[in-house]
Amino acid sequence: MTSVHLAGVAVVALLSENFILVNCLGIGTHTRAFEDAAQARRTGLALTMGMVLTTLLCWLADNLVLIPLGWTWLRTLLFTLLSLLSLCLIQHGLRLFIPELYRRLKDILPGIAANCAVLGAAFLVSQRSYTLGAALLYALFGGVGATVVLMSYAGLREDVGFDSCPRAFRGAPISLITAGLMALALVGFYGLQIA
Amino acid sequence: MNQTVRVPRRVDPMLRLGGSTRGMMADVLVALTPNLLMSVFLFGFRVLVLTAVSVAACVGAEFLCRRFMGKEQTVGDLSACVTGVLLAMCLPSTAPCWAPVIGGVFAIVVVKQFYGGLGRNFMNPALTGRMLLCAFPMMMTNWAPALQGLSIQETADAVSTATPLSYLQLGLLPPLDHGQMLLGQHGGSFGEVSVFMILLGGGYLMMRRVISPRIPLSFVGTVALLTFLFPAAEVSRVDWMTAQLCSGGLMLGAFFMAADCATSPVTPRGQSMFGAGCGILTVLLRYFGSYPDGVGWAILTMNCMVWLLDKGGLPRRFGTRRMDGLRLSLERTLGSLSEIKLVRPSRRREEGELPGESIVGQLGPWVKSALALGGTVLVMGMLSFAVHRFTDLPIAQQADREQQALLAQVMPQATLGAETPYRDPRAVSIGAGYRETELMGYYVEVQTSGFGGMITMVVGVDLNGEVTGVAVLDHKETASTGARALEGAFLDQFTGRSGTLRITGNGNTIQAVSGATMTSRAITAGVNRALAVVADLEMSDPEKDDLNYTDGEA
Repeated sequence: MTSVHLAGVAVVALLSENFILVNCLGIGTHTRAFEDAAQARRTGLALTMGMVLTTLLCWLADNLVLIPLGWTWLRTLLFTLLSLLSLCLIQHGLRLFIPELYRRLKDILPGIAANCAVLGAAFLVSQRSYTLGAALLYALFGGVGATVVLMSYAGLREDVGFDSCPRAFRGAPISLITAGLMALALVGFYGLQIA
Repeated sequence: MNQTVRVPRRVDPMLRLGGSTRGMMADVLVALTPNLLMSVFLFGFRVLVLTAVSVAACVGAEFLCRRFMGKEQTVGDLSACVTGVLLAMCLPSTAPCWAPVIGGVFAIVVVKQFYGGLGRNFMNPALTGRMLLCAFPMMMTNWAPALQGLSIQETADAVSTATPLSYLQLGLLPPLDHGQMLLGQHGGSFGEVSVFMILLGGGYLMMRRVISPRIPLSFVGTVALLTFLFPAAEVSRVDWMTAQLCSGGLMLGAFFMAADCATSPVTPRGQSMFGAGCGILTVLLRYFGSYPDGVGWAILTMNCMVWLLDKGGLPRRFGTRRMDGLRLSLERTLGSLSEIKLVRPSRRREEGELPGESIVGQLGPWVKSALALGGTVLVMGMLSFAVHRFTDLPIAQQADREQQALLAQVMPQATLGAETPYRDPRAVSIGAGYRETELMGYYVEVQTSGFGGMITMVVGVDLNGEVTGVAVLDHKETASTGARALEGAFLDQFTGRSGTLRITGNGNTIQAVSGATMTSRAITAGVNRALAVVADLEMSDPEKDDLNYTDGEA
């Protein structure tokens, strides 16, 4: 796989198929992430770790076990279990080796279990038959893209405040309108193809 | 609501004496006047009609909206006028009159007033209105040529011309000299063609200190640098760079949209990063994206990230040295990160305890939950397996039926399709079509990039190098416009063709579907690629070689 192709995969994961604004996955991970910028940053970090580790495990399972043996019907179940396994690994690994980080991410990590963004990354990579490098890049930049979106949204909310709209729009409607406006900005990137 | 009302921290960047906002907006209108007059000269009086409709829609929307929301009127600060004029300037001169109305109402009501009015919006209203109108691609891309004297009523019947951007997207230089490009004697949105007038207006604004020069200069500078470093093939760097700078909405966007103080960062470093980011995204979209002009999308995307850039810009307090803000923030971040360190897991035991005694108590529940999980997984696995066994054969039969239908569409004269071991990096797969053991031709599966994503198609080529049929398997084109180029009427054109097919030019051309140029181009490229693959295949066909094999081996 040439580096141009890998760069293309990275840009696609970051912009034209942004996990939160375009694919609409990973929105329910941690609702506080949409209100507080620090929580948004941590949620993004947890999502990225979950996505990369799960994509790695699922790619290995897919290409070393499922496809050679022809057990592709087991894919859904196995990928879900592997995402739970990766959450377990991340939680215990952090608790043993980097306790401070564990303390900060403790409330966010359970949202990674069978998270739609995490599973979405694994399934998309499997559907498109990416190589290992492309798969990991896709998951990494997908996580980075989700982090940037979450941080922008939370920062926007702190900065601008959503209280000036008519009363009927307060709460969920104005949040959805804001997310829709941010998604409108990304429409120009649909179909972006590097080589 | 019981909680205290949170005062948003963003102070209106235009917080001055009330009269000054009006003065600033008046300055912007003055700066836009030479551009407007030049567009009237180039495109006729319809420009004025569109601008008037747009301003009326924006001002009316703001008046009614503030009235219904029970807030004080802000129509007097002329910001709605400016939004109206800017929105109109982004439209082609053949746009229907209802387009700026829709765009203007959306821009003022949703993008601006719902967030609190002037200074509190986070995206540029005029630009968002224009981008919303991209949902009507047929109306919005009908570019009239300059100096054609359009009458006021004339709309979609006008002859459409190619803009400089359409040349640049193909990697060619537009056939204009510098004077024509600067003055705007070519097709495009009527407010963005006249680069010279925009520069005059921008210079006026910078002199009156309405906008800071940092954003436009970093935006234009980044685009200039990137297009200078990466020109299209066989084109002189300077010519390519000038053509890119003068075409499309770059100048209008840099001076009037990106530099808008409400939607850009406040800190100087943040502003430079904003401009640079806009430039990078613009070049990325212009080179690789589906829409010809990426300026609007780039500015909108960077608008969403303004908060991040302000944090990164690290505002400096008065009286401190230049790097103090940076150093303080770095110290804080590093201090926070240094608490995160690797710890060796300790394995101490209490006094007088047998090894493993501390976890024996937890072992019971662990085993119970593990058994529950294992049992569920086993049941689910067996269920999946049962469904798989039940549906395996029907799935295979259905796939075979689809394959037969595809073969009938792609190579009607063949009755049996088979895979071949030939591989080509340009094709996904190569299959062979037979009629009673006689090879009729090959069907090649290729992928091309269309407007909304990848198009997967199958092209049948017979042994004479002629196309026998084209079928589209998968696409992401827009349903009403792009998908018209994927229907039978267009695809039937390819039957019987050979050689290299073109959309425009002399000889061996394909009639593209109007309004679906990119999709038509993608399909044609796919067919060309399939023809090339089969041509190369025939050259190295081992069966053919066997016929000439003169060595004594049987």
